[in-house]
Amino acid sequence: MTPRFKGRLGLVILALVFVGSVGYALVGERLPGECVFGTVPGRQATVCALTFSGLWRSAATGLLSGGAATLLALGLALLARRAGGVVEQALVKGAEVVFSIPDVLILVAIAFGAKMLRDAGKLDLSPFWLMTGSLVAIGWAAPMRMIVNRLRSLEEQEFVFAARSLGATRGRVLLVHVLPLARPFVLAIFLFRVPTTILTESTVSFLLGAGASGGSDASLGAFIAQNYRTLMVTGFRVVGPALLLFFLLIVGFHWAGQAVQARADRT
Amino acid sequence: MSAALLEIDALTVEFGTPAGPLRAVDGATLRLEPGRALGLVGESGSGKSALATSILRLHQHARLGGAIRWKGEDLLRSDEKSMRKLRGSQIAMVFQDPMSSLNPAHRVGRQIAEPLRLHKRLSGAAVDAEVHALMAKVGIPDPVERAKAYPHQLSGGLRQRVLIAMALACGPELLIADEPTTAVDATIQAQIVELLRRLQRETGIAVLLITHDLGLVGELCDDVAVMYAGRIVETGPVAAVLGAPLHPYTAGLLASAPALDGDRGARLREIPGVVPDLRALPPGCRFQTRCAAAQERCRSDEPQWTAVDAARGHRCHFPLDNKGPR
Repeated sequence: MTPRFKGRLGLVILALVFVGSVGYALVGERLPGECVFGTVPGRQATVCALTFSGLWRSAATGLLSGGAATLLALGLALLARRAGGVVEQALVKGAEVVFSIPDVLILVAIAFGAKMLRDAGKLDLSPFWLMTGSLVAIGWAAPMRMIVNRLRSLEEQEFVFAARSLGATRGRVLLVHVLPLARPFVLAIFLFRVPTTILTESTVSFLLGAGASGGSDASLGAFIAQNYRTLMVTGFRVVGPALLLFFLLIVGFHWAGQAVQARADRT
Repeated sequence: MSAALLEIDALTVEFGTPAGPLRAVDGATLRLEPGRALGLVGESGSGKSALATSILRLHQHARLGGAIRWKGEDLLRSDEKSMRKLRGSQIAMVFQDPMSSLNPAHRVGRQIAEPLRLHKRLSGAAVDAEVHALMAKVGIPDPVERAKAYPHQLSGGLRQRVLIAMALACGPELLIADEPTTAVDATIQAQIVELLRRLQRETGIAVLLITHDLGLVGELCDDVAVMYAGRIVETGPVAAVLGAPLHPYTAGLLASAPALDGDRGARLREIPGVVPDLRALPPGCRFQTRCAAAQERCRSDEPQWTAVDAARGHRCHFPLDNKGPR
């Protein structure tokens, strides 16, 4: 499969998932008959309602965290390249330190710190926003290093040399000449960050039960974690749709990212 | 002799490389007067472009030594802000490859407008009018429409004209043209040469032409400096240097240029060997490993600069007898 075909397929998958979930939200509850997958054992809610709700939770977490992490990485990379010298070295070294620490360790540390603050009455943050913020905190480091390297290679282009020969400042060179060409690369990073973030959140939800939210507002990962034991009783009826949507979400974003990455590599 | 616009004195340009420092330009001395054209010739790797770009201090990581005096002011002592004011407004540069020198993400009109916005603080309709006038001046037909084109939508010749328009936008006093005809085909080369000649005549701009084409130097320049392995080995008025070269390297370059009236089928002459690795230069004269006239002294002592007269000099122990091999 060519990257372009993969990209289109990825977008089609994401569009179908989106249309399906929006369609269910609009008319699903009013349709005659129950959800074909029935209800979740021990709960009043249907599998369809909780699965689609989980999808929105996971997608929102992925898009918000992935977007914020990518923007933070881009801002820091631009700052590093604009300042250069010691500032750039310090920022890149900082990113390397954050990158070298296991994500789960940082997430557990943040969750632990948040719990202590919450217990002390000094923090009033919902699990969703806490998880989103935590994912941003771990998600900026690798993209920042990649964007810095991309900016460096674009700055070596002859048109940058030509712009400087006309009197452009370093900041102007970065913003006017380099950034427009770095956009596809940054978009590709964002599209790769989204499934990575969804996977991380789901892993944490599954392993630690500390996901974006719990109860009826569970993310896909948390929903699977809460119900995976039903596999022994009901087979894939309860968690199967969630696993499928989870898979489609990851594959859709990943393939879209691959297509944009291929385009970025051509510039 | 009038006051010099640009004086380069014992310039050294050194780059740090993983294999150690590389001195691309070693003790270059040049002088350019207002309104005159100086050709800087030499093979690839001789240090011509490094010298030219050093005038504008474009290499951020290069170590520069000596002096580059612009109207008497040493640019190597100027701060970055002063250099930015100078770039594009007083000294402008045209690069070799018009495709890679233009930003593929911006329309050419916007790129020509860049120096106007930076130095003249023009904006809006005034910029557009100036851009269209500049495009017409460099011979770009239908400037209003062409200004909206992206670089890939233009031919090589038009792209090179766009670069020249960008360089001339703020009326600089010196134009550094780094192999401006290398990346375009022969018919376009002639047009670009004619354009540069016309612009020089009309505006009185001084030109520093970097090239390996001695024919181009003969057509455009008043003076010429020949570079080899980071050193300037001969300078002088074009007619004198091309008519009767003193340095064997200059003579070799002249001999290796194909002539229209030469014997068809005859083998072109060449300078044997290649430019030496600048990190492992031969002892004595840098050209001795390729020079047919090299003698023992050339292998041990590096020749010093010898001034023949106020305008002419060379760096050779045994200069040619003014007849040259041609």
